[in-house]
Amino acid sequence: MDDLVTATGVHRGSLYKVFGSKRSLHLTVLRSHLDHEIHPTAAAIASLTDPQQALAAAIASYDNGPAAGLLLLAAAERAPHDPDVAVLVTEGICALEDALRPTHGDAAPRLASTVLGTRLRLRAQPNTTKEH
Amino acid sequence: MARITIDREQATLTAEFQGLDKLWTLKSSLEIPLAHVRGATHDPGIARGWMGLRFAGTHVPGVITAGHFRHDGEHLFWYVKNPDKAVVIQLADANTYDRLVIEVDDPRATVALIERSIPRD
Repeated sequence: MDDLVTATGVHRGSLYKVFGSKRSLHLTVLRSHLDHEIHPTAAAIASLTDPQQALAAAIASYDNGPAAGLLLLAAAERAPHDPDVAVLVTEGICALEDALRPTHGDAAPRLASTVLGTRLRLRAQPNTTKEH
Repeated sequence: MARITIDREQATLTAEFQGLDKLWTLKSSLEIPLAHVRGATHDPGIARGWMGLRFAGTHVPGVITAGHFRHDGEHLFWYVKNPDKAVVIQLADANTYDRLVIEVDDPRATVALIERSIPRD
């Protein structure tokens, strides 16, 4: 909580008043990341007709933007312990699978796993992505 | 420290104080309808800041903060001796307090118990 107060510059009491708890804040941010970044990105990938372009676009942009990596972070840290987080993470992963299905058919789930794995590896290269 | 329990049938959260703790807080227990509980957070940092003005209770800096305090127009109930075990319980539509800051034996388990017991939108 101390890090959130410092990073946002918002009074601790105001954070509690608006969100209720740190968990509720996390769920709200994850929901926003899905609505404003994950789903629009998935829609853009789904609109591509070339399989290689669709895969390249997914690797370049999935789980990116201002909250880059939040989905993967939630999948690794909170989803195993929090059913509500797990539901949101599943929604994000399914969105990627659905986006790749038009160009890759039954191979979409396997390729989605490849994309997420590649995104994870990119996080270990500090200069290649903008991370939070 | 306080003992926090949830009664699912009555849909209430209860914080009980034992022994001398009743004297410091001027209360033996607090009972809050679960519908008025918005969430719980383990927050050791909150007890290192300004607690507010004491209305009723006990405040010995660095030793104990217990009772009814006011801070930024909000009514807070404090019971903390060890900040590392402080849990913040945010309330809504409560007639008494806006926020409880209470020391418990196992902050992680208490937060999980409260968070899975309250209704979500």
